[in-house]
Order: sequence, then C-alpha cells, then structure tokens
Amino acid sequence: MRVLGIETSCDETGAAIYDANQGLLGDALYSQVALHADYGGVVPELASRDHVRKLLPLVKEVMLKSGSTPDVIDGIAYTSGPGLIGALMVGAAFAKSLALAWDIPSLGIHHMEGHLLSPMLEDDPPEFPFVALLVSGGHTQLVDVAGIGQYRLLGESIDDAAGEAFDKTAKLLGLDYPGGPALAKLALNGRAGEFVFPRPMVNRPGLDFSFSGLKTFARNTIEDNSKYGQIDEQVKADIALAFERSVASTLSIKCARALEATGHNTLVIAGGVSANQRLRTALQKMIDKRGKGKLFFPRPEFCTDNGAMIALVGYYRLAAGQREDSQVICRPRWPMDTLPGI
Amino acid sequence: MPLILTIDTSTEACSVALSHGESVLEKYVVMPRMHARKLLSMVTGILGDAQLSLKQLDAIAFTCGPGSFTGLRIAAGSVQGLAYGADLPVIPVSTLATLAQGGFRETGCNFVMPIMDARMGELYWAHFEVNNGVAILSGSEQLTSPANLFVPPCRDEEVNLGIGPGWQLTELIPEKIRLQMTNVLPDFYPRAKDALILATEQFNQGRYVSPEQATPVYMRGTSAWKKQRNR
Repeated sequence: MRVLGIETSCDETGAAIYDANQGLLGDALYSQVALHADYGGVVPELASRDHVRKLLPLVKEVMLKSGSTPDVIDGIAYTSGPGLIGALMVGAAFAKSLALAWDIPSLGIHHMEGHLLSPMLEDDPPEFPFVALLVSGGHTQLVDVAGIGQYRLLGESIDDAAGEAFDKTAKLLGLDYPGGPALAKLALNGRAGEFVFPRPMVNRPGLDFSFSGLKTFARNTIEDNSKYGQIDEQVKADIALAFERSVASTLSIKCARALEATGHNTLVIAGGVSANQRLRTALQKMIDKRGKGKLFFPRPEFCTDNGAMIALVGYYRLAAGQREDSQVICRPRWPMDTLPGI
Repeated sequence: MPLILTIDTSTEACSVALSHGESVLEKYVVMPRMHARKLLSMVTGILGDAQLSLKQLDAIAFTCGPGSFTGLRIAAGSVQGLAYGADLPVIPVSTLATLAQGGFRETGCNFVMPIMDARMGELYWAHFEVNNGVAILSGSEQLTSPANLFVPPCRDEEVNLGIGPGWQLTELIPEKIRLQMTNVLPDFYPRAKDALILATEQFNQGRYVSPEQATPVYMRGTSAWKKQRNR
C-alpha cells in the first residue's frame, strides 16, 4: 500500500508519500515562516492563500521524487485538525477531490497524532507502550500511548504552550519571529547561574503545565536589567539561557513523573520544540539518571510540521480499513483521546 | 459543445453544472458554511445524472472570484484536486461576470451591473454588456468604497439591471446609483449554469490554465493586513 500525505494545518505546506514496504519515498515542504515574520505571527488568511498556491506543486514534486504514477497510490491522508480552519480546508478540499478523481479512499488525520507517531519514521522506532511529550507552538501535552489510536491524556498546559512561551519571551528580548530557535541560539552565549527562573507547577501534584508565568517573569527580569530601555547583549543571552533551562527542566521533571505514573520506560518527544537541543539533553540526562528506559525523537525536519507524519498515520489507518465519506469536514479543535484505535 | 463541469462556492450559494448534449444539468443550494460538506457529493451526483466520469470531461471550470475568501479556496482546492487527478485543464470564470450572465438569463437585460459585498465597507462591482448572449466586461472589475460607484452616462437607462447580493446593502449604495437601475435583483447569487456559458466561451477561445494555476482572484491584496511597524 502506498499513501499520499498532505499537511496544511498552519504555516507549513507539506506533501509526502509513504510505502508499506519501502517506507518514506518522498517528502516536500514549503515553510511560510518568512511570509509571517513581517507580521510578527501567523496571519490565518495569508497562510490559507499560500497553501492554495503551494500544495499542488509539492504533490507533483513528491509524485516525481518517489517515482509514483497515480495508479500506484492507494489512498490519500490529509490533516483535518486541529489547526487553522481556513488552512485545513485547503488541504482537505484538495485531498478529497483528488481521491475522488483517482477513485481511492481518503482519510482525515489528527495533526498531533502525526507528531506523536513521527519517530516511527526512523530506522529505530519506539515500541508501544510509551509516554509521549508533544511540545510545539500550539501544544504541550503528555500522553500515555498504548498503541495506535490508544491515547490517554496525562497532562497538558493550562495556559501557553511551551513553544508559545519561547516565541513570546523571544519577542520580549527583541528577537525576530519565530523567536524559539533564535532564543535557543542566543542562549548558547548565556552564562549559567546569572539568573534563575522558576519551574512552574513542579511542586504541585499532577502532570499539567503552566508557561504563561515564565513570560511575565522574563518581562520583569528584562525591565529590572534595562537602562533607558536598553539591555546589554550579554544580559539578554543570560536571560535566554535561564528561560530555556527553566522550560527544559520543567518538562523533564514532568516527563520523569509521567514515566513513574505509567510504569513505562520509553519516552517519545515530538513537535517543534522537540528540536530544542537543551530539552533533548535534559531529557537524556533524566533517562540516564533513572537508569532504565530510552528516549526517542524524530529527525529535525520531522519535529516541525510535515507531510511525512500524515502519510505515515494515514498508511496505518487506511491499511486497517478505516474510511470516511465524501464530506469535507475540518476539526479546528479535536481531542486526541477521541480517536479510534486500529 | 465541450463537456465542462462547473463549480461555484463563491457566496452563500453552492452549485455545480454540467453541459449534457444540448441541455445543461445543475444542482444549486443556498447553504452558508456547508459548501465543503456538500460540494463533492453534488459533483458525483451530477456526473451520475449525466452518466459521465471525470476523465470523459474536456475541462473543469470554477468561479475564481471575487467572493468569500474561504469559499473561493474551497472551489480552487477542489478544482485543483479534480483537474490534476483527471488530467484536465481548468477554466477560471469571474464571479461578477457569472452574476451578469445570470441577470441576462433572468431578465434579458443587456446592461448589467453586479455588486458583491467586499466587507470593510467596500464593494466588488463592474459593468457588463451582453453580446451574442455572453456577458462581456466593460472597463475593469472594481474594489472600491460605495462613493466610487458609477454608471456610464452613455447607457440606455431603460435596460440597466443591478444584480447580486451587494445590492442588499441598501445603506451603502447611493440613491443616485439605485435610481439609474431599471430593475434590481438583490437576492440573486452566482450560479454554476451561468458560469458554464462563460466557461464554454473561454474554452472555445483557448483560455484555460493548468490545475496549479487554478487559484482564487481575491481582488483584496495582502496590503489589507498590517505589518509590524518596526520592520
């Protein structure tokens, strides 16, 4: 079975082809980051406009790259939520129309399930059950994963997502959108111990997160260390480092608790923030300290949004016989624990 | 007559049409925010009625704008998928021309002025003159404030028709413009069967594009969104 995957949930247009026997055969991505940078964030209307222009050329590219002709594609998977409704609609309308023309099934895929299972695209995939930490600009969730479609939410952010906190703090530091990676780069020049940020909610039971307070703490720290509205570059780097350490350590503490609570030994991290090196290092240290278990994460290009993860999940579900009718339905909000198992 | 499947989802209405021998088949519903749900079943329905498959068609047409941005993208995305999948060319048809064509069908008026709501206090509008049964644009399609509306003075005032949902905005449209219309059909939406006539004309003239060029004509450019000042 060979599946075409399509991703248009936010500001990245992705297409990929996954084959049951040969794995990932083609993957193409167009990032709109530069477009939205001028606006300081994602503008939904402009994102939707770009998806309409970029999607078909990307699909043609992966068909060519994978040496696929229409008759060897057995199904089309597309992201039907969560995400920006207008952006989702472009991918859904295209995918379902193409499936109709090719007379093959199509299936709407949960974007976060795509992220969650993206480490399965690697040569050394994790085995079920495991704990997954999904960290991106829109989500921070800990999930108990028993198998495909068997998800139990263990905890999530009660306010800002971790990636959102990164971007907002970066903005306070005067860094360009998207600030997360820029903040991480700045933090490389930071001096450890110059500032200490709180570890929100680690003293409370449970596995929920809260990151909005860190942003406020960052704002106050920046103000306290500014003179005439200016702040020293070294101090900025020190603040970036202190912030990044706080997020990494908070996530790590909660992940350790989640492994304890579930009895699982495998930890999977996915989503945009999972590309953060300090977070990966903190989690690896935590696993090493436990003395058992293993950490899995996708390669950097599959940490951010991509079509490959959608093609993969589409393959799992279509191969299991899951189908849907011709109605194009997008689900901007869609709890992952309502997904069917296979 | 070429076999052209035509799709319109540019306003609250949603319709598909197909030339079938000498007659035209159409499915038309007024169903705000349900276009995406209904469109593909309407497409398969009309193909079934005509006992045709997509691959037997000559082209796919769609109303490319102006109109609801989301509606235009539902049509463009669907048309790209269908046309790429069935290896067909695409004919983008103006939504304003489609309204004018519908006005001519409904009333026989040769001078038609369609107006659509562009939000933000502005209107999409244009003038069309019908020639040999086909609505032809006079001048250019406009996105302006209501104060910039005008009716060409040389027109025969006997036969001016105002058409389209923009005319429902009675508080926006100046009285002097309204008075220059012989008749106004404010509850008239674009229909695929009218777009089909224009699409057939365009197809016969070789005016069609590849599926990836099947993109909306928004008229409202990206300058409507404010950039950060300090960049």
